[in-house]
Amino acid sequence: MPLNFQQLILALQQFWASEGVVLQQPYDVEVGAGTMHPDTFFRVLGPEPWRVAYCSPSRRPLDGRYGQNPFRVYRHYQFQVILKPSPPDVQDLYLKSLSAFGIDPKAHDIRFDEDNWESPTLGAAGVGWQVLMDGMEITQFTYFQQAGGVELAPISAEITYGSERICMFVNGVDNVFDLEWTPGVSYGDVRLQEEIEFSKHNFEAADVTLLNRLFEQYEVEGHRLLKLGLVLPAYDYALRCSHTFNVLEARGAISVTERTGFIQKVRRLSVGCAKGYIQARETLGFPLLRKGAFAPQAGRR
Amino acid sequence: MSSRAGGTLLLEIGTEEIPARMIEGALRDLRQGLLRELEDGLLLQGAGSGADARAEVFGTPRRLAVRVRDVRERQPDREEEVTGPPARAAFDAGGRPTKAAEGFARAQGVAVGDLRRIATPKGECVGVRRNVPGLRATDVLAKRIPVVVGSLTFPKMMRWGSGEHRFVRPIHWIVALLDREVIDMTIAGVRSGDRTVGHRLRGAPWITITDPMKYVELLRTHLVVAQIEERRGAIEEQLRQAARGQAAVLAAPPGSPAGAEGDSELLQDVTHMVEAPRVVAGEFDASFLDLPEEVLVTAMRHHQKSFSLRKPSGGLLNRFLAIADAEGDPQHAIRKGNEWVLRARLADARFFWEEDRKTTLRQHATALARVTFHEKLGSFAGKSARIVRLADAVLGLFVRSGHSADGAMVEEAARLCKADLTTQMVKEFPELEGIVGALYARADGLPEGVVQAIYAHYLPRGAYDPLPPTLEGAIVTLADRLDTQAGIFLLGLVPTGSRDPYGLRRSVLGVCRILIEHRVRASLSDLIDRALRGYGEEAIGGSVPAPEAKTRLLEFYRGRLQFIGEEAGLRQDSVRAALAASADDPYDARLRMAALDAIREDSGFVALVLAHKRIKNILKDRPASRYEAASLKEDAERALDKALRAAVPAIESAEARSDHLQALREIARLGPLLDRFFNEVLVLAEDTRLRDNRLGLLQSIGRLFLRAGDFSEIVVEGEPARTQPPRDMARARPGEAGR
Repeated sequence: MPLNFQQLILALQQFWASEGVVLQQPYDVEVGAGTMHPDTFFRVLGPEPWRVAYCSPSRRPLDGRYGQNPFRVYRHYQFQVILKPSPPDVQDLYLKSLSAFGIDPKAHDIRFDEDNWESPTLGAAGVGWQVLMDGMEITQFTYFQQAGGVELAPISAEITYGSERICMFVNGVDNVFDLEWTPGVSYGDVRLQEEIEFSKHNFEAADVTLLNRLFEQYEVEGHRLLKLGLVLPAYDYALRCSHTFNVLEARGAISVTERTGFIQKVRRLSVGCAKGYIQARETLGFPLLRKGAFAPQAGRR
Repeated sequence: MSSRAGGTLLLEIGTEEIPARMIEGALRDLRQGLLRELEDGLLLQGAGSGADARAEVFGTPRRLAVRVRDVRERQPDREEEVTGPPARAAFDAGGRPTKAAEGFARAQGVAVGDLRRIATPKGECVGVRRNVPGLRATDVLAKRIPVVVGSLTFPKMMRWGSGEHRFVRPIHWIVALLDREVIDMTIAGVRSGDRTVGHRLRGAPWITITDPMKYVELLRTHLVVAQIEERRGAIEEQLRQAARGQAAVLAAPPGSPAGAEGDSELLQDVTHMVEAPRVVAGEFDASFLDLPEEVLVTAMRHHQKSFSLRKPSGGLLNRFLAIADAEGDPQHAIRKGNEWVLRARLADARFFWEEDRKTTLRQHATALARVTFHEKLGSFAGKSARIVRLADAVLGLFVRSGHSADGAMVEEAARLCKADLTTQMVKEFPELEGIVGALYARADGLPEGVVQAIYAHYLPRGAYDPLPPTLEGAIVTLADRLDTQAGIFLLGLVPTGSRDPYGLRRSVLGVCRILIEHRVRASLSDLIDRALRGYGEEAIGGSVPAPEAKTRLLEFYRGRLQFIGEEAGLRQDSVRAALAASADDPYDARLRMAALDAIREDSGFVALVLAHKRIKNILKDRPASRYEAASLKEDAERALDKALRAAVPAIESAEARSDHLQALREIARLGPLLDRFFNEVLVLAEDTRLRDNRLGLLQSIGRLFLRAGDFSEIVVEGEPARTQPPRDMARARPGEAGR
């Protein structure tokens, strides 16, 4: 019996926890992708090792379809893993993780198809693949090369599972809202109203004047906090700017020429945060470089 | 193994999945680099030119491999001469060795008495001759191969792990063998060995290679087809069989000529995406067949890399063929998965189709102001308006050349051709631009002429692709291209070498081909002026002045016309000579090239060429002078003048009819008279009045010649060929474009 939605997420958590990662929770400021979670954005910077996994609700106002489209939702759940430095057997580890939710890779056609990633607002870029299973994109697999405008070393591997897609695929379900979340409760029961209301909000109702003003204020506040050396709070404002921009864009309130300006503003803030973070960690003496941090556990692999 | 036959070198770099588009280029570079090092390291038996046949490449997403036969096991021993100090410094006046000579001998490990005198370009020196024993090939290669691998470049490279090494993807293993012996080295932190890896999911890890000649067979038993051509062939064969089994044929991608079958571009892609190719057949709900075929085929090939099938008689089937990297699909998991994904894709496509259709194409066009054409050149709304105006001018040329295109349809198509850039369908499938607009135009009930013109206005895409099939389409294409060319040249972004981000070589070539094939008389200079004016008077940021943009663009056109002539099999110098007369009217220029190349076979033409060269030499650096027929003295010059006067109207009338062969024949008639003139008349006479008069006569003849071509460009037998400028990148065959 294929796993339902929450079993899938539990299985992924279980698998990666047993691989010695920090099991983290979603961030509580709106993000467009798991990559924007501070435990990815910051932790891939600098020399310290890091391993983390978490489920990241990701808001993409432009993808909203009022709950009408069987495959697209405004908010979806990414399952995100960061392994820093990327271990040599990272692909094998990933393939092994598929069996955690009942996929036997040998029975399928699994391919790593070139797909590089770039986030202008985060000043980040990576090289990698989309992983296709029987022609279906189930995962984004990226070796981060740059974040916050900084060239990275060591390199982190980022694995982002598309939870909904995988669950629909293994269950042969054609409509995301029909997925079983837990017995007797569907994905639609949990989320449909949210999809409808937020689509309406993002496309029709959001107050453009207010959002424009908020964007400006968030930006100013972010830079002010950066000057005080408060990198993590400043980054919260960068995230707020980014999400506000996404809503404004969905609302059709940003012209092509303005768009570049908005992106540059968010980028400037997040690049500032990245630089500040590295300095702050250096001042702390890069604590995770100590012996024993993320040491392989007995019995693991 | 006898040392005469030589050994076999095998190098395999095992990696994580390399992007399909980069594999062939990397193999070419790897092979070339390896051969260069083998030759430079004295390890290739026989001459270098034969080396090519001995080196084979193999490649899959996870491995880049080269095998070279007839590699020496050891460099040949050789004698080496080491030169030391000059002889005069090495020996004193009495011929006794100095300190310098002793020092040199010591450094070389020989007795002073073993030094000999050697003549060098810098004078006589002392030196020693030594036997240098050849090194073992494995030792030489262990130093040289890492350099070759390290110098490979890819369009996009990456770092991994600790971040020290750079390659296209992380390297996991390296096989480096000379026969059975490992060439021991470390590349990107990976130590070489004799073990390779089978198929990721279905082969054994770590297979020892005992004989490089059995590399392909060994991998095949572990489900890897390492030979690219074998893999391509296997896929083609499986596709053909599967199609035949369904009484179907493989559909061609949208925009292909009518009746085309198969999809070579997709085949190329999938060949480099799998190690163990297996065609898996599947189907989708027949209700999707009410979507346009172009959309269905694209939905299958774009994301799913699947081939579509159609009945031999035409219509698309609700079937597809996917290429899996697997030995089979006994549980039908792969088939079911692909069917599920395709269902989602087609549902998406239907959603886009229905959403887009909620407004008409005309309404979509009003949203073009929000789509950027180029950040410095404005939006597609501006571009569309310029295309409409230019299309009107181009239409005039077609009409004057005897074509009857429908003006109203041209205008409508010009206005709407870019409208689909605002649609969801084109955002999803950018390769369907134009085609999608046409489909929506048809669904809106617009005239079929408008539909066809929009459909084909991106044609021809490649140098050998078909042209837009209708006149209206040809006109809109021309207007669109001229506008883009003018804009990009205004920004000073002239294509150079392999850099042509806007595809202007193809764009210009397309304009020339359309004008030539439709036999449309045009003035490029006039068209380019119009196109440049379309961008208005105000300065565009970072732009070059319009006259300069025009000069450069015209020069660029000349280059493409030269290419067209040579591609048609005309001699390079004929083409250049004809274009020297004028390159302003591509169709006329094309006729003139052909005529000039043909008349070279006529007896007497060589004399004309030599005469023209002679005229040019005499006239070089001389100011223009006039001549009066009355002042001509000698019979020969009077006869030439008379013939010239008779020839001019005949030539002019032939030129006006674009009958260049006739014009050239008229000119050729002057040949014997010119010969006689040069034999009997002294051009540079003492008498300045006579001299100026004769120079004037020759200038008139030179001008007349130049109407048909610069004959002095023609290389005649017995004359050293001119060194030609290097062949331009764009002359590479299609598919050979720079990586």
